[in-house]
Amino acid sequence: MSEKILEAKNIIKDFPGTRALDDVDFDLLRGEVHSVIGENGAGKSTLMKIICGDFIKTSGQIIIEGKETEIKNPTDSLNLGIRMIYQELENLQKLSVAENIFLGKLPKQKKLPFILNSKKLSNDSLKILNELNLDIKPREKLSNLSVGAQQLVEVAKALSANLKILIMDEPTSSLNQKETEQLFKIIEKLKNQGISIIYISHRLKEVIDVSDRISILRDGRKVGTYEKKDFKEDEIIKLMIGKSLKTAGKQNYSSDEVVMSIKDLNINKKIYNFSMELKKGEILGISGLAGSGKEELMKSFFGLWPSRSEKILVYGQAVNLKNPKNALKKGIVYLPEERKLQSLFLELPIRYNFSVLWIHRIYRKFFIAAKNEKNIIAEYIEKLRVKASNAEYMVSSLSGGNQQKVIISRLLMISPNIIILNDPTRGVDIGSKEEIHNIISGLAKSGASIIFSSSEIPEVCNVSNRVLVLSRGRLISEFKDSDVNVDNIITAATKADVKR
Amino acid sequence: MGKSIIKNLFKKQAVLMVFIFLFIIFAFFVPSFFSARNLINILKQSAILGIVACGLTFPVIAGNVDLSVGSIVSLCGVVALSLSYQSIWLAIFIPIVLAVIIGLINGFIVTKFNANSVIITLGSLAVIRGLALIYTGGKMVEGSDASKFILIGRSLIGGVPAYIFIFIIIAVILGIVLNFTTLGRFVYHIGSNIEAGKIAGINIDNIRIYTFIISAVASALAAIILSSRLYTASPLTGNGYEFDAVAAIVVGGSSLFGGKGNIYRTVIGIFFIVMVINAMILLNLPVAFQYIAKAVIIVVAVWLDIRTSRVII
Amino acid sequence: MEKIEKKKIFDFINNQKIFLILIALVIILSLSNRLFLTYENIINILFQIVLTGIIAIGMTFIIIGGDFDLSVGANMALAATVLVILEKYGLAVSIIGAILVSSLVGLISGVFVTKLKINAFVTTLAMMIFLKGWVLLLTNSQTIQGQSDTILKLGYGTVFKVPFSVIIFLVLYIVFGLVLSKTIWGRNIYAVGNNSKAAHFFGISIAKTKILAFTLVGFFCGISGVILVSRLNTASATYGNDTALDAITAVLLGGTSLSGGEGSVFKTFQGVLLLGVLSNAMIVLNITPYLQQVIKGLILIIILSIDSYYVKVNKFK
Repeated sequence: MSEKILEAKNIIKDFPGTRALDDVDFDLLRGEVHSVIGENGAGKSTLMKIICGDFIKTSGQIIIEGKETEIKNPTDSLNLGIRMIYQELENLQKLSVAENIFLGKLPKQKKLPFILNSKKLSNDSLKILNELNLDIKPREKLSNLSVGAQQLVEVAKALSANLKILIMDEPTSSLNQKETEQLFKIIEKLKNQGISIIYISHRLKEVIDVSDRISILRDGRKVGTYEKKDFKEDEIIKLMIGKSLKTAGKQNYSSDEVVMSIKDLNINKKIYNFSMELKKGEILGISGLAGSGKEELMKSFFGLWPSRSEKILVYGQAVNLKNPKNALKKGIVYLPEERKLQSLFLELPIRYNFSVLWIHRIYRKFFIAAKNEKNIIAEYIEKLRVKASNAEYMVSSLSGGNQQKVIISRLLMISPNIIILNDPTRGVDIGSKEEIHNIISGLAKSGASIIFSSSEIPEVCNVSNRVLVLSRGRLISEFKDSDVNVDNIITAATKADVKR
Repeated sequence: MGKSIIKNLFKKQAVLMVFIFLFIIFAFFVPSFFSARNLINILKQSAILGIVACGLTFPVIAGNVDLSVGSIVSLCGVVALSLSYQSIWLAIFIPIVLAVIIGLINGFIVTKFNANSVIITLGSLAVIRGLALIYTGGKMVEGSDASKFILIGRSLIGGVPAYIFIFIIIAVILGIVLNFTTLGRFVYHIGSNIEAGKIAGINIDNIRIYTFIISAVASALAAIILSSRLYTASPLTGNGYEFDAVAAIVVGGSSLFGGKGNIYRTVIGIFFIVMVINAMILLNLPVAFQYIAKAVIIVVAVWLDIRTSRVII
Repeated sequence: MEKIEKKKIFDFINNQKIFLILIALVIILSLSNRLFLTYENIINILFQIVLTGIIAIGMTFIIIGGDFDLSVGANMALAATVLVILEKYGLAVSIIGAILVSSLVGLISGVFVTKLKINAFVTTLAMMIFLKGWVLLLTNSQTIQGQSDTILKLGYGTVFKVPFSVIIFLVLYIVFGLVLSKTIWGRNIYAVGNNSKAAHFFGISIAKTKILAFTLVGFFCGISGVILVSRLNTASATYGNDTALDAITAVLLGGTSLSGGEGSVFKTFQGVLLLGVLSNAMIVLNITPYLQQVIKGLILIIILSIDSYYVKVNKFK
């Protein structure tokens, strides 16, 4: 039980413009559960992707069972007995549980090796499912199962091969209470079989329950490893978050006028009875750990996620935010967290990417006058200091930070009253990050109201005047002005993280 | 960064380069190619097909395909000619209305059911052609001698058929719509990234339906001109136009995945294909070679597009 | 307990709905026309649907794998042409030659789709145009006649009053139904159609899987072409114009989804039968061939709309 099955030494991973992993050491003992925790962007998934062969390390060593190895592609890691279970399921929905478990490894008939041995397939699947105490029939169509059950089938699938290391990324995010218990029992069984598990999760209480060791990553570095006997929640949290940034010197431009009020908003299985008021000129932060419902809530403000509420008022008028068009009509704009997938029209010219909202919200004429468009784009290129030499080039030619500025300009061009920013500085360099923070501040000063969310809690504290903290779908706490700090928020976010 | 700009420019003009190159080769080596009569012939053929292809450009940029355009040409053609006996205005107006309805239905089904536009418009093709056959009883229709309808297709302006100018006007109008109107702009957006389009508040369904209507109406206009020019119309006219139109769009450098293309490219594509076929006819090659040439051109063009293609996330 | 049983009954009916519609249609037709359910008429219906039906088997494989093939009609015409041209060298040579050529065509399509990464629509569209040109070339744009009449004996020969082609049709359905559901390759097609990324990651060769499927469709086009010539002893570039549409309609009608990853040869069999019965009914009802074409087009549009809508609604689970 004390033999090292995996050792990662001095791992460095560079991407153009950033160092994602900086001299990280990580080791895994046979039969242990070793959790890796840290904020978004800390480098957890980068490290895992290197172990799984999705990324290639820039430098460092990987030692598997005492032998130094190069993992050049996913097949290499598969052959080494490493399996990763992702948060987003990549399975075969329309096929049976058995065919999913044995994907690519279907048992063959002895005498006719091109024919499927369906009896063996059924029996072998049943064996694995029983071993894991899962009450799932091998012939059941996968899509008939709940998402949680499908996740557990993924675990069964990992077992059908020569498994030495199992990496689980947010495994309980789609599991209900019963399924989570099943999962933990399975983890126990796997440990007894000598299989090692790397467990990644935001749910600190869970991590403390299930792990033998916990390693903490922050800003691409490993900042600590704890043994089970030394687990202390507050210390761990402090290491994860780092020094609380100063919140002094931040201006508060909020007035008393209420621009938007929400009463009893509910999102199916995600958010329960959420109510809030947004004041003019205020920067309101929404915070919570993964699984708190924060993502879905942010989306529902813009009609991107179905919700039911008793009442939503914008400037005193009742509204129905059921789709983006309705929200835009009320002067609400939204900055998505995945700009490449959700904001950018990559093959289209920069000009198109700038003005897509402006042309039908402000300009509103059938024919687009080139001069007017040029002028307003030039205005914003200057205002936000966007480095784009020619607006006819494809927007894919710009850097991440400049692309983000284009998207932000797009939103500001229509003079919105309420601006929803969902992780606006993700994947953006430090310089642009600061500029964007200043822009946000300037917007509040000019009377716009901002709802802000970020994967980095210190950033939320740095930027917001007031912060609402969610946990497991409910609004737990509200912090104002000098109470807005990392410790308070973390405490609130994890306080109610109790299994119901 | 600089490289992608240059690559972009080169690609934009690559088809034009090849076109000019072939033109010069044909001018020297193909007998009678470079005569005024032949060049006007090429223009004449390009005009009809060109109108259809320009209309089809809209659904293609939006990421769909409309394979019913050929059958719309046949239905509108026979309807137009049969109505030439009533009045010239009915002969023009009714086919267009018909096309709008067809475009609306095509667009509605593809958007509301999220159905594959290839198969749906293949089904429409069968339905519309069947309707044309029923309407004419399988026979050819001839236009009324007393009608002014024949002027559309047969009048000349300065020795050149008037409809060539109609083609130019239509191409310019469609080009303006695509590049300078909100509708055209949104067609590009939904072809490029639907998710982002939704978040930008674009009414995806409506825009898509408009593209199918534009494609259908363009086919109707082509049908009016063609039937007026030939003064006979058959329910089988326009058979295969959809493939020529797709070929033209693809050759011109537009992408069948959506988000890339414009009227200028489509027009070059049409001239390209018509020119190649023209050269083949002048060289007395059997009709079969035209099919083979079209097929090869389509595959090469798409393959090149895929190779130099889409920004991968 | 009652709720679960109700759901089971509902699911069962839902799964068999095409079969039930078929039975209902047969009952209605046989009640309104005494001659419908006779041996002769049934054999007649089967005789008519053989050409499309055999190709539909191959189309099932392709659609489950996530593609479709528009060139099947032209490929069948090519097979017929090759057969007629080679007839003078002997029946066996000509039949084998025709089937080989068609299979090769399928193989090429498969290579284009997998190795050159050109999607199925463009590949099979271009192939269709290419093959049509080829057939025009070989036939000199005319209908060509075979040299010997021996092949007609195959076309009209019977075993216990069942035509050879119908027997071939049924045998192929049984054999390839088993191939799709019981062989590793067959299961791989389902996997690729479900999630090609995952299939690839776990070691399934998408290229091998799909190329074999396209070759198989070509093979079936060859067989259909041979059967076609066995009835008319002629070949022309106009043959097979509607075949692709009919085959796709039959597969979708049977309940296989265009989105891929599910379905079966047996379902296609039901779809083919349904289409055959409908065609027969339309003839009996004296519906003109033109209206028949309209109705067939409508059937395709309606059935695809239902399928797509179902996929759309179930996406957001």
